[in-house]
Amino acid sequence: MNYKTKKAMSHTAVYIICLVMTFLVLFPFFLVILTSFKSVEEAAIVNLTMPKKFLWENFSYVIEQGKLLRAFKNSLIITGCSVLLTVLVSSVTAFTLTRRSDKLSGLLSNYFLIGMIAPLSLIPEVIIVKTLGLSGTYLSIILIHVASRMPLSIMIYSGVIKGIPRSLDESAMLEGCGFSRMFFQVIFPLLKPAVFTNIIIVFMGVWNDFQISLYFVTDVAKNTIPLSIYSFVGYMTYKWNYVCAFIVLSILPILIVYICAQKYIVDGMIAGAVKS
Amino acid sequence: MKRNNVSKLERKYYPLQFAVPGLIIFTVFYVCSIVGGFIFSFTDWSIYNFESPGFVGLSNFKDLFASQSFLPALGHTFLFALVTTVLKVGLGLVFALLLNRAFRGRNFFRAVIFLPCTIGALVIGYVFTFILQPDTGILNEALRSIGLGGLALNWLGDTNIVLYVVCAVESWMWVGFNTAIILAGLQSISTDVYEAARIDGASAWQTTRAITLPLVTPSINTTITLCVIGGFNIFDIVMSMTNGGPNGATQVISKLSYDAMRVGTLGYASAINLIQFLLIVIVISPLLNFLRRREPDI
Repeated sequence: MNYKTKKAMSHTAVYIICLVMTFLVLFPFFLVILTSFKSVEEAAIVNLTMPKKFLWENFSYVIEQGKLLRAFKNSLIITGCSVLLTVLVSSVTAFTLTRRSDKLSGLLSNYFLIGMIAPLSLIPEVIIVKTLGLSGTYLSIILIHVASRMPLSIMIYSGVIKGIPRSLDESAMLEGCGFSRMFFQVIFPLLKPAVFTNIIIVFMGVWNDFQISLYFVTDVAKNTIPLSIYSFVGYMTYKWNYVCAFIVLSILPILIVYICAQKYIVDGMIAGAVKS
Repeated sequence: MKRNNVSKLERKYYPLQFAVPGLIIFTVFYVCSIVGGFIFSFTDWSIYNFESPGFVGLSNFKDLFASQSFLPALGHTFLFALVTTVLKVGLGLVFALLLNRAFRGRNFFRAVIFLPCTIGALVIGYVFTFILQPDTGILNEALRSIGLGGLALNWLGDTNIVLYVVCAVESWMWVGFNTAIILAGLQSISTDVYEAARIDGASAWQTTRAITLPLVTPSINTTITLCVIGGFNIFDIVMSMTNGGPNGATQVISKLSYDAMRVGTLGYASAINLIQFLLIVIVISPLLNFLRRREPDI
């Protein structure tokens, strides 16, 4: 066998493996989409037959029955605020602590590392939230998300800030900027790549979070999307067409974002995981 | 003297109060919960005596080890962490090596393999529950139609295999993520090294074994660590696929703690969390040491 045929063969093998992988990954998605158009009877047996009629009304039924719009609103509020707060608080904290060289600041920087080692303890958290009078509020869930995402975010920002020369701050100060103006107009724009990574990590984590919402959303009116799926499946047992329609609608936003910003999402999620 | 001046300027330029909001949020909502969890583990705190938990020493831990469900759950969690780590890292490495080759469409394949982990584990769990239904699911239908009806098992109902099925689904979800991490490591290897190997007449297999694998070890170690931690914290996928069943065959530690919280025994639930945390620390520290020692010096 000469070099050329050998190369062609390995090339074919690579394609075959990749195509099998693609099939294994995309097939479940395809099946879910197909089933979401079926009637209850057709969906009772999961197979690849085409539905007699594509029932678009499944989607409106699910939006109504599953209170999907409400869940979207809740997820958007919680995710949006968590992202915004995490970015703001972490970047300011990281900047202050990295720029100061006194002992206390060093100590505080290490203090945040606790979050990289010890996991959040959800049960005492219930008490904390209760004591603060925040039970059942969006704010409690948002603050828990922010607190748990902060250590990693601070680490990401600190790394970038260390590379920004102090002379930049000084010239801004000499121009008469206060801390806030100096930070937001001079430093923050330079943090853009880190902010982007940070947004993706927090967004993906909070949007898909199930455990924290399960513990802290006490009122069905505040159900997030994962929680709504959880309760919807609970009372729609074996009506797979509706469950699938619900799943299609709920993962649609993520899929669209992924298709548009795929490279950034992959890079962001890797950066988040590897740093920790 | 000069040093003192710098500090003074720093104090003026970068006032510490700007770090205060972050410190408060982190302390109240993170550190306090950890401290609280530690303390409550030694109390009989429950929803029935919510206001005045009493100190009970190690009795929660004694109850835990005496209970029928704890040791099996511990075993399941260990097995789960082990099996998923092997699958995720092994397949991740294979696909990373494949997708690091130059061929048309590889960016598409990279995007595809990463896709599952952008969707929540809960949804993935439901999708597979539905595919794996014993009588109506498509997997068994397909197996029967090609004459392999004997292999059409009750995937989520058979206590002997259900844990491995959940492991497989969890791995399906995360293989692409680990592929991406290892791929990032592969791409940082300088092409000079490969060039040198080619000039020395090394075969593809020799190059992979003697150059690629050692140089990508740090990335592989990262994935191993992440997978082990993720395996010990497993929760969502179990909730959506089996709810700990059938007959406790997929009961894991975090689910046990959730169940204990649901019935109101909060001190007991905290004790389970504490054990989960200690387990991770006990397993991870020696693992990290072991892995670090095997990293090559560059």
